[in-house]
Amino acid sequence: MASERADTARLVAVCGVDAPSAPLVRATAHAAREQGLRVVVVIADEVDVLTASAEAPWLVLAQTAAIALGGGLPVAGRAGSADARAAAVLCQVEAALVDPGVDLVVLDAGDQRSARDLLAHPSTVVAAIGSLLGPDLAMRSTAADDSGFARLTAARDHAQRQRDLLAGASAVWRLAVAPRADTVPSAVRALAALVVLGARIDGLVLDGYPRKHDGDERRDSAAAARAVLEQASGTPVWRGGPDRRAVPKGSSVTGPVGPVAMVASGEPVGDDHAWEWTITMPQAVAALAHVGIEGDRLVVEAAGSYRWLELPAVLRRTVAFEAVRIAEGLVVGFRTDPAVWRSTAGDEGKQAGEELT
Amino acid sequence: MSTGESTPWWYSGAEKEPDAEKEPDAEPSGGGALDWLGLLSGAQRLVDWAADAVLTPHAEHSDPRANPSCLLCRASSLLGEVRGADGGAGPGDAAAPATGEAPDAATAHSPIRWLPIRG
Repeated sequence: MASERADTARLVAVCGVDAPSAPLVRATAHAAREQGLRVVVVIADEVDVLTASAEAPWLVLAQTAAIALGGGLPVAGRAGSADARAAAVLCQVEAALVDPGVDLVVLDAGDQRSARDLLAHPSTVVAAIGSLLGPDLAMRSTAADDSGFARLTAARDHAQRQRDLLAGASAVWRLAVAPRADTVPSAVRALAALVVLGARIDGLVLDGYPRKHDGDERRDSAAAARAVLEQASGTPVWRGGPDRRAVPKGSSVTGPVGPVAMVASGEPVGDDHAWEWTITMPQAVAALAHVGIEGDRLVVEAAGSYRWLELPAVLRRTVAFEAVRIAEGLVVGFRTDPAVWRSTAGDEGKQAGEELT
Repeated sequence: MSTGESTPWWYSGAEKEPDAEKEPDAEPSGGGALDWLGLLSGAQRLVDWAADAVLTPHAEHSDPRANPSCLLCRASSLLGEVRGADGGAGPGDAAAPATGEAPDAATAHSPIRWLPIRG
Protein backbone atom coordinates (compact mmCIF):
# COMPACT_ATOMS: atom_id res chain seq x y z
CA MET A 1 0.00 0.00 0.00
CA ALA A 2 1.21 3.50 -0.73
CA SER A 3 -0.44 4.61 2.41
CA GLU A 4 -1.50 3.09 5.67
CA ARG A 5 -2.83 4.21 8.97
CA ALA A 6 -0.11 5.47 11.23
CA ASP A 7 0.50 3.92 14.59
CA THR A 8 0.59 6.26 17.52
CA ALA A 9 3.69 8.32 17.00
CA ARG A 10 6.33 9.14 19.56
CA LEU A 11 8.09 11.45 17.13
CA VAL A 12 6.32 14.08 15.06
CA ALA A 13 8.72 15.77 12.66
CA VAL A 14 7.76 18.97 10.86
CA CYS A 15 9.35 20.30 7.67
CA GLY A 16 8.60 23.68 6.11
CA VAL A 17 8.15 23.96 2.36
CA ASP A 18 8.00 27.58 1.24
CA ALA A 19 6.54 28.16 4.69
CA PRO A 20 8.04 28.29 8.17
CA SER A 21 7.93 25.12 10.17
CA ALA A 22 7.88 26.82 13.56
CA PRO A 23 4.15 27.69 13.74
CA LEU A 24 3.11 24.10 13.11
CA VAL A 25 5.70 22.88 15.60
CA ARG A 26 4.34 25.20 18.26
CA ALA A 27 0.75 24.25 17.50
CA THR A 28 1.61 20.55 17.61
CA ALA A 29 3.41 20.84 20.93
CA HIS A 30 0.57 22.90 22.36
CA ALA A 31 -2.06 20.42 21.22
CA ALA A 32 -0.05 17.53 22.62
CA ARG A 33 0.18 19.21 26.00
CA GLU A 34 -3.55 19.81 25.93
CA GLN A 35 -3.91 16.07 25.38
CA GLY A 36 -1.92 15.55 28.57
CA LEU A 37 1.25 14.44 26.86
CA ARG A 38 4.66 15.35 28.13
CA VAL A 39 6.36 16.97 25.18
CA VAL A 40 9.91 17.87 24.23
CA VAL A 41 10.52 20.11 21.25
CA VAL A 42 13.81 19.77 19.37
CA ILE A 43 14.55 22.58 16.92
CA ALA A 44 17.17 21.31 14.51
CA ASP A 45 18.45 24.73 13.55
CA GLU A 46 19.12 25.59 17.17
CA VAL A 47 20.86 22.41 18.22
CA ASP A 48 24.43 22.96 19.28
CA VAL A 49 26.60 20.61 17.27
CA LEU A 50 28.89 20.30 20.26
CA THR A 51 26.21 18.36 22.06
CA ALA A 52 26.76 15.36 19.81
CA SER A 53 28.03 12.35 21.65
CA ALA A 54 31.56 11.28 20.79
CA GLU A 55 30.05 7.88 20.10
CA ALA A 56 27.58 9.24 17.55
CA PRO A 57 27.88 7.00 14.49
CA TRP A 58 28.86 9.83 12.20
CA LEU A 59 31.66 10.93 14.47
CA VAL A 60 32.99 7.40 14.77
CA LEU A 61 32.99 7.21 10.99
CA ALA A 62 34.51 10.65 10.54
CA GLN A 63 37.22 9.88 13.02
CA THR A 64 37.99 6.61 11.29
CA ALA A 65 38.21 8.36 7.95
CA ALA A 66 40.42 11.06 9.46
CA ILE A 67 42.80 8.43 10.79
CA ALA A 68 42.73 6.61 7.48
CA LEU A 69 43.76 9.75 5.66
CA GLY A 70 46.63 10.49 7.95
CA GLY A 71 44.76 12.81 10.25
CA GLY A 72 44.00 15.18 7.42
CA LEU A 73 40.25 14.88 7.39
CA PRO A 74 38.77 16.12 10.62
CA VAL A 75 37.00 18.87 8.71
CA ALA A 76 33.99 16.69 8.02
CA GLY A 77 33.11 16.50 11.65
CA ARG A 78 33.35 20.19 12.30
CA ALA A 79 30.49 22.43 13.13
CA GLY A 80 29.87 23.51 9.54
CA SER A 81 29.02 20.05 8.32
CA ALA A 82 25.39 19.19 7.71
CA ASP A 83 26.14 15.69 8.93
CA ALA A 84 27.67 16.98 12.15
CA ARG A 85 24.48 18.92 12.75
CA ALA A 86 22.32 15.93 11.90
CA ALA A 87 24.36 13.82 14.30
CA ALA A 88 23.81 16.33 17.08
CA VAL A 89 20.09 16.60 16.36
CA LEU A 90 19.71 12.85 16.43
CA CYS A 91 21.55 12.69 19.74
CA GLN A 92 19.03 15.11 21.22
CA VAL A 93 16.08 13.24 19.79
CA GLU A 94 17.42 9.94 21.05
CA ALA A 95 17.99 11.34 24.50
CA ALA A 96 14.45 12.69 24.62
CA LEU A 97 12.91 9.44 23.42
CA VAL A 98 14.61 7.32 26.05
CA ASP A 99 13.50 9.70 28.79
CA PRO A 100 10.64 7.98 30.62
CA GLY A 101 9.25 11.41 31.40
CA VAL A 102 8.69 12.24 27.75
CA ASP A 103 5.67 11.01 25.79
CA LEU A 104 6.21 12.81 22.52
CA VAL A 105 9.09 14.49 20.74
CA VAL A 106 8.20 17.22 18.27
CA LEU A 107 11.08 17.79 15.89
CA ASP A 108 11.34 21.01 13.94
CA ALA A 109 13.36 19.69 11.02
CA GLY A 110 13.56 23.08 9.35
CA ASP A 111 13.30 23.50 5.63
CA GLN A 112 13.27 20.82 2.99
CA ARG A 113 17.03 20.75 2.61
CA SER A 114 17.60 20.33 6.33
CA ALA A 115 14.96 17.63 6.54
CA ARG A 116 16.55 15.76 3.66
CA ASP A 117 19.96 15.98 5.29
CA LEU A 118 18.53 14.69 8.52
CA LEU A 119 16.61 11.80 6.98
CA ALA A 120 19.48 10.75 4.74
CA HIS A 121 22.08 10.97 7.47
CA PRO A 122 21.59 7.59 9.18
CA SER A 123 21.37 5.72 5.90
CA THR A 124 24.48 7.48 4.71
CA VAL A 125 26.36 6.41 7.79
CA VAL A 126 25.05 2.84 7.61
CA ALA A 127 26.15 2.47 4.01
CA ALA A 128 29.48 4.18 4.56
CA ILE A 129 30.37 2.05 7.53
CA GLY A 130 29.13 -1.01 5.71
CA SER A 131 31.62 -0.27 2.97
CA LEU A 132 34.41 -0.08 5.51
CA LEU A 133 33.52 -3.23 7.39
CA GLY A 134 35.10 -6.13 5.63
CA PRO A 135 37.68 -8.82 5.90
CA ASP A 136 40.58 -6.39 5.60
CA LEU A 137 39.48 -4.38 8.59
CA ALA A 138 38.51 -7.48 10.52
CA MET A 139 41.95 -8.98 10.01
CA ARG A 140 43.59 -5.83 11.29
CA SER A 141 41.40 -5.45 14.33
CA THR A 142 41.62 -7.19 17.62
CA ALA A 143 38.70 -8.96 19.24
CA ALA A 144 38.53 -6.29 21.92
CA ASP A 145 35.30 -4.37 22.35
CA ASP A 146 37.11 -1.10 21.63
CA SER A 147 38.76 -2.27 18.43
CA GLY A 148 38.08 -0.38 15.25
CA PHE A 149 35.98 -3.16 13.81
CA ALA A 150 33.88 -3.46 16.94
CA ARG A 151 33.41 0.30 17.22
CA LEU A 152 32.41 0.64 13.59
CA THR A 153 30.05 -2.31 13.89
CA ALA A 154 28.43 -0.76 16.93
CA ALA A 155 28.25 2.60 15.15
CA ARG A 156 26.56 1.01 12.15
CA ASP A 157 24.00 -0.70 14.37
CA HIS A 158 23.45 2.58 16.17
CA ALA A 159 22.90 4.38 12.87
CA GLN A 160 20.37 1.73 11.86
CA ARG A 161 18.45 2.45 15.03
CA GLN A 162 18.60 6.16 14.23
CA ARG A 163 17.19 5.43 10.79
CA ASP A 164 14.29 3.56 12.36
CA LEU A 165 13.81 6.40 14.77
CA LEU A 166 13.19 8.85 11.92
CA ALA A 167 11.51 6.53 9.45
CA GLY A 168 10.02 3.76 11.56
CA ALA A 169 6.44 3.12 12.57
CA SER A 170 6.64 5.40 15.60
CA ALA A 171 7.54 8.49 13.61
CA VAL A 172 5.41 10.64 11.35
CA TRP A 173 6.36 13.65 9.28
CA ARG A 174 4.18 16.63 8.46
CA LEU A 175 4.87 19.29 5.89
CA ALA A 176 3.97 22.91 6.44
CA VAL A 177 3.20 24.19 2.95
CA ALA A 178 2.47 27.69 1.71
CA PRO A 179 -1.20 27.84 0.66
CA ARG A 180 -0.62 29.03 -2.87
CA ALA A 181 -1.05 27.33 -6.21
CA ASP A 182 2.43 28.33 -7.33
CA THR A 183 4.03 26.41 -4.47
CA VAL A 184 2.40 23.11 -5.33
CA PRO A 185 5.33 21.89 -7.46
CA SER A 186 7.83 22.50 -4.67
CA ALA A 187 5.50 20.86 -2.16
CA VAL A 188 5.19 17.82 -4.38
CA ARG A 189 8.94 17.63 -4.86
CA ALA A 190 9.51 17.90 -1.13
CA LEU A 191 6.98 15.17 -0.49
CA ALA A 192 8.64 12.95 -3.08
CA ALA A 193 12.15 13.59 -1.81
CA LEU A 194 11.24 12.85 1.79
CA VAL A 195 9.16 9.72 1.22
CA VAL A 196 11.84 8.26 -1.01
CA LEU A 197 14.24 8.79 1.88
CA GLY A 198 11.91 6.84 4.13
CA ALA A 199 9.70 9.49 5.72
CA ARG A 200 6.15 8.50 6.54
CA ILE A 201 4.15 11.66 5.91
CA ASP A 202 0.71 11.73 7.46
CA GLY A 203 -0.31 15.22 6.51
CA LEU A 204 0.29 18.41 4.60
CA VAL A 205 -0.65 21.55 6.46
CA LEU A 206 -1.42 24.65 4.44
CA ASP A 207 0.13 27.14 6.79
CA GLY A 208 -1.55 30.53 6.95
CA TYR A 209 -4.58 29.42 4.98
CA PRO A 210 -6.41 32.60 3.93
CA ARG A 211 -9.65 33.61 5.58
CA LYS A 212 -12.60 35.40 4.05
CA HIS A 213 -11.17 38.85 4.57
CA ASP A 214 -8.02 37.91 2.65
CA GLY A 215 -9.83 38.18 -0.67
CA ASP A 216 -11.04 35.82 -3.34
CA GLU A 217 -7.77 35.67 -5.25
CA ARG A 218 -5.79 34.33 -2.33
CA ARG A 219 -8.56 32.00 -1.31
CA ASP A 220 -8.92 30.64 -4.84
CA SER A 221 -5.20 30.04 -5.06
CA ALA A 222 -5.21 28.26 -1.72
CA ALA A 223 -8.21 26.16 -2.69
CA ALA A 224 -6.53 25.15 -5.93
CA ALA A 225 -3.39 24.14 -4.07
CA ARG A 226 -5.40 22.13 -1.60
CA ALA A 227 -7.33 20.33 -4.34
CA VAL A 228 -4.20 19.31 -6.22
CA LEU A 229 -2.38 18.17 -3.12
CA GLU A 230 -5.36 16.20 -1.85
CA GLN A 231 -5.56 14.45 -5.18
CA ALA A 232 -1.90 13.56 -5.56
CA SER A 233 -0.20 13.46 -2.19
CA GLY A 234 -1.84 10.34 -0.81
CA THR A 235 -2.21 11.89 2.62
CA PRO A 236 -4.59 14.35 4.29
CA VAL A 237 -4.29 18.07 3.64
CA TRP A 238 -5.65 20.54 6.13
CA ARG A 239 -5.67 24.22 6.94
CA GLY A 240 -3.13 25.60 9.34
CA GLY A 241 -2.07 28.92 10.72
CA PRO A 242 -2.76 31.17 13.70
CA ASP A 243 -5.69 30.00 15.80
CA ARG A 244 -6.08 26.85 13.77
CA ARG A 245 -5.73 23.33 15.08
CA ALA A 246 -2.48 21.43 14.70
CA VAL A 247 -4.45 18.47 13.36
CA PRO A 248 -7.97 18.15 11.97
CA LYS A 249 -10.81 18.13 14.43
CA GLY A 250 -11.21 14.79 16.13
CA SER A 251 -7.63 13.66 15.42
CA SER A 252 -4.80 13.19 17.86
CA VAL A 253 -1.47 14.91 17.32
CA THR A 254 0.14 11.51 17.68
CA GLY A 255 -1.99 10.11 14.89
CA PRO A 256 -3.55 8.51 13.12
CA VAL A 257 -4.51 11.64 11.25
CA GLY A 258 -5.08 9.68 8.08
CA PRO A 259 -3.35 7.69 5.36
CA VAL A 260 0.42 7.91 5.36
CA ALA A 261 2.33 8.82 2.23
CA MET A 262 5.27 6.49 1.95
CA VAL A 263 7.22 4.20 -0.35
CA ALA A 264 6.72 0.50 0.24
CA SER A 265 7.14 -2.74 -1.63
CA GLY A 266 5.01 -5.87 -1.66
CA GLU A 267 5.63 -9.42 -2.75
CA PRO A 268 6.42 -10.07 -6.40
CA VAL A 269 3.79 -11.97 -8.34
CA GLY A 270 4.26 -14.02 -11.47
CA ASP A 271 5.03 -17.41 -12.91
CA ASP A 272 8.11 -19.12 -14.24
CA HIS A 273 8.59 -16.60 -17.00
CA ALA A 274 7.60 -13.15 -15.81
CA TRP A 275 7.07 -11.31 -12.58
CA GLU A 276 5.71 -7.99 -11.48
CA TRP A 277 6.87 -6.16 -8.41
CA THR A 278 4.68 -3.32 -7.22
CA ILE A 279 6.32 -0.40 -5.45
CA THR A 280 3.56 1.62 -3.86
CA MET A 281 3.87 5.36 -3.51
CA PRO A 282 1.66 8.42 -3.89
CA GLN A 283 0.74 9.42 -7.42
CA ALA A 284 2.71 12.61 -7.12
CA VAL A 285 5.84 10.64 -6.31
CA ALA A 286 5.29 8.10 -9.06
CA ALA A 287 4.94 10.93 -11.55
CA LEU A 288 8.43 12.15 -10.67
CA ALA A 289 10.07 8.79 -10.14
CA HIS A 290 12.72 7.01 -12.15
CA VAL A 291 13.41 3.34 -11.58
CA GLY A 292 16.57 1.40 -12.24
CA ILE A 293 18.51 -1.69 -11.36
CA GLU A 294 21.89 -1.76 -9.69
CA GLY A 295 23.10 -5.27 -9.04
CA ASP A 296 20.57 -6.99 -6.82
CA ARG A 297 18.81 -3.77 -5.90
CA LEU A 298 16.02 -1.73 -7.34
CA VAL A 299 16.74 1.97 -7.32
CA VAL A 300 13.94 4.51 -7.01
CA GLU A 301 14.81 8.14 -7.64
CA ALA A 302 12.50 11.08 -7.22
CA ALA A 303 13.22 14.76 -6.75
CA GLY A 304 16.89 14.09 -6.21
CA SER A 305 16.49 11.45 -3.52
CA TYR A 306 17.35 7.82 -3.96
CA ARG A 307 16.08 4.65 -2.36
CA TRP A 308 17.58 1.20 -2.75
CA LEU A 309 15.32 -1.82 -2.34
CA GLU A 310 16.81 -5.28 -2.14
CA LEU A 311 15.36 -7.50 -4.83
CA PRO A 312 13.37 -10.43 -3.44
CA ALA A 313 15.10 -13.76 -3.99
CA VAL A 314 12.74 -14.78 -6.79
CA LEU A 315 13.83 -11.76 -8.82
CA ARG A 316 17.57 -12.21 -8.42
CA ARG A 317 17.99 -14.19 -11.64
CA THR A 318 15.69 -12.10 -13.76
CA VAL A 319 16.00 -9.05 -15.93
CA ALA A 320 13.93 -5.95 -15.27
CA PHE A 321 12.70 -4.50 -18.52
CA GLU A 322 10.22 -1.73 -17.75
CA ALA A 323 8.08 -0.01 -15.17
CA VAL A 324 4.47 1.06 -15.47
CA ARG A 325 2.78 3.83 -13.53
CA ILE A 326 -0.46 2.79 -11.90
CA ALA A 327 -2.74 4.50 -9.41
CA GLU A 328 -0.94 2.91 -6.48
CA GLY A 329 2.57 3.63 -7.66
CA LEU A 330 4.83 1.71 -10.01
CA VAL A 331 4.84 -1.86 -11.26
CA VAL A 332 8.23 -3.11 -12.36
CA GLY A 333 8.26 -5.94 -14.86
CA PHE A 334 10.84 -8.73 -14.77
CA ARG A 335 11.41 -11.71 -17.00
CA THR A 336 13.76 -14.64 -16.90
CA ASP A 337 17.38 -13.93 -17.61
CA PRO A 338 18.28 -16.07 -20.63
CA ALA A 339 21.87 -16.07 -19.46
CA VAL A 340 21.03 -18.08 -16.36
CA TRP A 341 17.66 -19.72 -17.15
CA ARG A 342 17.10 -22.37 -19.78
CA SER A 343 13.99 -21.56 -21.77
CA THR A 344 11.07 -23.93 -21.56
CA ALA A 345 10.91 -24.05 -25.32
CA GLY A 346 14.53 -25.03 -25.45
CA ASP A 347 14.00 -27.72 -22.87
CA GLU A 348 11.05 -29.14 -24.79
CA GLY A 349 12.98 -29.11 -28.00
CA LYS A 350 15.88 -30.81 -26.35
CA GLN A 351 13.62 -33.49 -24.89
CA ALA A 352 11.96 -34.03 -28.26
CA GLY A 353 15.33 -34.38 -29.86
CA GLU A 354 16.39 -36.89 -27.25
CA GLU A 355 13.24 -38.92 -27.87
CA LEU A 356 13.85 -39.00 -31.63
CA THR A 357 17.32 -40.29 -31.16
CA MET B 1 39.78 8.70 20.97
CA SER B 2 38.19 11.52 22.79
CA THR B 3 35.67 9.69 24.87
CA GLY B 4 35.45 11.14 28.28
CA GLU B 5 36.32 14.66 27.19
CA SER B 6 33.69 17.32 27.52
CA THR B 7 34.53 18.83 24.17
CA PRO B 8 34.37 16.58 21.12
CA TRP B 9 37.72 16.08 19.44
CA TRP B 10 36.37 17.39 16.18
CA TYR B 11 35.42 20.80 17.54
CA SER B 12 37.37 23.37 15.55
CA GLY B 13 38.04 25.41 18.68
CA ALA B 14 39.80 22.56 20.41
CA GLU B 15 43.44 23.08 21.25
CA LYS B 16 44.44 20.10 19.18
CA GLU B 17 42.92 17.05 17.70
CA PRO B 18 43.92 13.56 18.69
CA ASP B 19 46.38 11.98 16.32
CA ALA B 20 46.94 15.28 14.55
CA GLU B 21 50.60 15.33 15.53
CA LYS B 22 51.24 11.65 15.05
CA GLU B 23 53.02 10.13 12.17
CA PRO B 24 50.71 8.71 9.54
CA ASP B 25 51.63 5.16 10.44
CA ALA B 26 51.25 5.64 14.15
CA GLU B 27 48.81 3.44 16.00
CA PRO B 28 45.47 5.29 16.18
CA SER B 29 44.59 6.04 19.74
CA GLY B 30 41.94 3.71 21.03
CA GLY B 31 41.94 1.94 17.73
CA GLY B 32 43.41 -1.30 18.98
CA ALA B 33 45.24 -2.97 16.14
CA LEU B 34 43.81 -0.76 13.43
CA ASP B 35 46.30 -0.28 10.67
CA TRP B 36 46.21 2.98 8.76
CA LEU B 37 46.87 1.25 5.45
CA GLY B 38 43.90 -0.94 6.03
CA LEU B 39 41.79 2.05 6.90
CA LEU B 40 43.00 3.86 3.83
CA SER B 41 41.88 0.90 1.80
CA GLY B 42 38.56 1.06 3.56
CA ALA B 43 38.31 4.78 2.94
CA GLN B 44 38.97 4.16 -0.72
CA ARG B 45 36.02 1.83 -0.77
CA LEU B 46 34.04 4.46 1.05
CA VAL B 47 34.79 6.92 -1.72
CA ASP B 48 33.98 4.37 -4.40
CA TRP B 49 30.76 3.67 -2.66
CA ALA B 50 29.99 7.35 -2.40
CA ALA B 51 30.45 7.76 -6.10
CA ASP B 52 28.17 4.81 -6.76
CA ALA B 53 25.56 5.38 -4.16
CA VAL B 54 24.77 9.00 -5.03
CA LEU B 55 24.17 10.12 -1.54
CA THR B 56 21.46 12.65 -1.23
CA PRO B 57 23.22 15.15 1.00
CA HIS B 58 26.17 15.09 -1.35
CA ALA B 59 24.22 14.68 -4.53
CA GLU B 60 24.53 18.31 -5.45
CA HIS B 61 28.28 18.43 -4.97
CA SER B 62 29.33 18.12 -8.58
CA ASP B 63 32.77 19.50 -7.83
CA PRO B 64 34.25 17.98 -4.67
CA ARG B 65 36.84 20.75 -4.43
CA ALA B 66 34.03 23.24 -4.03
CA ASN B 67 32.73 21.48 -0.94
CA PRO B 68 35.61 21.24 1.52
CA SER B 69 33.31 20.70 4.48
CA CYS B 70 31.91 17.52 2.99
CA LEU B 71 33.66 14.32 4.03
CA LEU B 72 32.99 12.49 0.82
CA CYS B 73 34.01 15.39 -1.39
CA ARG B 74 37.12 15.92 0.67
CA ALA B 75 37.99 12.26 0.47
CA SER B 76 37.28 12.27 -3.25
CA SER B 77 39.62 15.19 -3.72
CA LEU B 78 42.40 13.73 -1.65
CA LEU B 79 42.23 10.27 -3.09
CA GLY B 80 41.45 11.55 -6.55
CA GLU B 81 44.70 13.47 -6.54
CA VAL B 82 46.49 10.27 -5.74
CA ARG B 83 44.71 8.42 -8.48
CA GLY B 84 45.29 11.28 -10.89
CA ALA B 85 48.99 11.11 -10.23
CA ASP B 86 48.83 7.43 -11.02
CA GLY B 87 47.08 8.07 -14.28
CA GLY B 88 43.65 7.16 -12.96
CA ALA B 89 40.48 9.14 -12.79
CA GLY B 90 40.60 12.60 -11.27
CA PRO B 91 38.45 13.87 -8.48
CA GLY B 92 35.87 15.23 -10.83
CA ASP B 93 35.41 11.84 -12.39
CA ALA B 94 35.22 10.19 -9.01
CA ALA B 95 32.29 12.32 -8.00
CA ALA B 96 30.52 12.57 -11.33
CA PRO B 97 27.87 9.95 -10.63
CA ALA B 98 27.04 11.65 -7.36
CA THR B 99 25.52 14.67 -9.04
CA GLY B 100 21.88 15.40 -8.53
CA GLU B 101 21.15 15.44 -12.21
CA ALA B 102 18.34 13.47 -13.73
CA PRO B 103 19.17 9.81 -14.26
CA ASP B 104 19.39 10.14 -18.00
CA ALA B 105 22.17 12.66 -17.67
CA ALA B 106 24.02 10.53 -15.16
CA THR B 107 23.71 7.27 -17.01
CA ALA B 108 27.07 7.60 -18.68
CA HIS B 109 28.84 7.28 -15.34
CA SER B 110 26.24 5.47 -13.29
CA PRO B 111 26.22 1.75 -12.58
CA ILE B 112 22.43 2.00 -12.41
CA ARG B 113 20.52 0.66 -15.41
CA TRP B 114 17.48 2.90 -15.70
CA LEU B 115 14.25 1.39 -16.97
CA PRO B 116 11.74 2.86 -19.38
CA ILE B 117 8.53 3.88 -17.64
CA ARG B 118 5.11 3.72 -19.25
CA GLY B 119 1.99 5.49 -18.12
